[in-house]
Amino acid sequence: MGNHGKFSRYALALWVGGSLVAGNASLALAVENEFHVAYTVRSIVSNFDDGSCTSLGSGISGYANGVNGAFDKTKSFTTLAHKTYDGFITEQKARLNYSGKVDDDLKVIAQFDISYLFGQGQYMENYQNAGLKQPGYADGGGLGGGDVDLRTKALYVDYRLENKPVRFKVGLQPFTDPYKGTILSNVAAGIVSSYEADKFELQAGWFRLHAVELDLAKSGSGAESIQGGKYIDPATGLPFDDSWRTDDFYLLQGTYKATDALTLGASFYAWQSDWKSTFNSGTGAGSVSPTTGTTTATTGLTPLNQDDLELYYAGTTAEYKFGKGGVLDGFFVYNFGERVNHIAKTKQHVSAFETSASARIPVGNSGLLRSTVIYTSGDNNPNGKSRSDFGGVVNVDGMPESYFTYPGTLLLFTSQIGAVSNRNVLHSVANEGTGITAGFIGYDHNFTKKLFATANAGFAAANENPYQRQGHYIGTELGGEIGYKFKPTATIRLQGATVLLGSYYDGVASDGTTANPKNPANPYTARIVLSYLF
Amino acid sequence: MKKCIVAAFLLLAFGTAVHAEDSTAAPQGADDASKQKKDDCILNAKDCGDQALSIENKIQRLKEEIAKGSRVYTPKELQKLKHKLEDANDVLDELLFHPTNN
Repeated sequence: MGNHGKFSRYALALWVGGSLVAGNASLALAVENEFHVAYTVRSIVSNFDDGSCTSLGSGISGYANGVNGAFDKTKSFTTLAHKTYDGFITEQKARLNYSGKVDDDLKVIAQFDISYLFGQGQYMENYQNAGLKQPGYADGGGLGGGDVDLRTKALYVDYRLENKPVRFKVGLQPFTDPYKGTILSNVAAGIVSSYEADKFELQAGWFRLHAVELDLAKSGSGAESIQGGKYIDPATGLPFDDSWRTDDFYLLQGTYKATDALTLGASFYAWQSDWKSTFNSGTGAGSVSPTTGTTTATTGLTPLNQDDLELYYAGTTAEYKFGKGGVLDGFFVYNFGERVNHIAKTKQHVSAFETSASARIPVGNSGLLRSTVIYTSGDNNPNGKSRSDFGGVVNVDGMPESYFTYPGTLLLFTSQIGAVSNRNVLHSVANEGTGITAGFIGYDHNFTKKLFATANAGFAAANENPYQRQGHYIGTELGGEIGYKFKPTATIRLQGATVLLGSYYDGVASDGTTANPKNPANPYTARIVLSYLF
Repeated sequence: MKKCIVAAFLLLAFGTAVHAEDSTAAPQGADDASKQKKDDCILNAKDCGDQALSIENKIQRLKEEIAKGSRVYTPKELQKLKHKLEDANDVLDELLFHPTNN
């Protein structure tokens, strides 16, 4: 357990501190209620982009695969066909944000999402494998409506100590790291305390990312057993019975304002995944010991209790402001610790890094030139004793919980503008261990107070080649948008982008053969987005 | 063909909305007298009448009030306004926070 115990005590102290102050509210004054709404409706025409309301890898990609119902959770390009099919979907998303203030120092914040695909909902119970439909996923937009579809995206108490620069946030809250979201960027339940002074700000916090029982083996589904992250029994290919997994994320970070223009930051994060498993391959002879990996003849249960993963991130940031709205910034993160290779059952020492630099340069009064470059270290052999590939936090399904939205691209990475997409060429800056070198350049221009346009270009290349692809070049994205703010609270956008795939995807199309390999089609997307923010 | 029709419908719908010009725009360039006065609605949520501020509007108003500085507000009130601005920025971030699925 090692450091884990210490961390747990710290987390407990934080929790007690957080709850004590939260319970210490003085007598209520007039309650101040505030509601805000963000509403987005968008139509997408694409051979790849399936928006954010379809389940992962379904929707348009279902068509693109040419196999109705293919549930491509890995969202990997290798399942894309040379011949793609255009899809057309419309979806809407509403966010309701409520904050209730008891007094100046204490408030509660709740945020709910109601989102769905037009047409997905009622009457589809019998068609759960028919492409668009996944059970319980963003229903409500089907004929007749009437589905229950409310998601809690934030629910926390925000408390400031009276007359002291100390603040606590307790509960389910958004968190994005200062490394442009490349380590952890999502909503998580936890406690963050901060100390704010003129020149510097300090934050300490703890998030519980997962507390789940993994008993998918009971369902006997082969499709589920291959999803990442679980202890897989090599003999049966099934995950262990009765695994209990807890994931914690601890953070300590600060910023220091050296001058009006220059801000420096540093942080230390720890991500720990703890597994307690009962080994039960259950078939007597031929079952495999979880500790040694050797075949034994015993039947029954062997308890397993070990730290599955301990990763640390030590990073620094610097930001320099100049002129009217100009910003230069950069960061470096060293990523180290230990992972467990579930298949080989060996520990892997991790030593990896990522670094990035960005510039935002105003052009005249109405233009903004943006550029960012990023490099993440990769590894040619992710199954070795040591690993040099940088990796942010991933969830229990093995999918990244980091979102590099900063470049503003629509397809290479997801974009926050006009709601994200579930399907991107790159899901994280790690790119499943290859590491990437990527660069982006964009230009925003306001023609009038209401009319604006953006042009974007970007490229990405893999640094290592663990999957023996034909080449390293991932692709070049070209895209842009035109927007019109027709009310102070409402904007309509036309967006479009395409990625010219590089040699990294040569010959990986699913309808190719060894004798006759084919390249997947270049993905494109075109969207009309209407957003309303009140 | 179907896509084109739907796209045309959407454009028509939004286009019609575009014609409904912003009648609700925030009153611009409030007179000089108000530049020297405290805004009790922003500061204490009092005397707001029936106005409800959009989040972007609220952030703008808070910035304007903070810019009035110590000529108009006490240090404690300024601190309160700054906290309110932080909170409002948080709300905006949360509303626009990458809306992932799960």
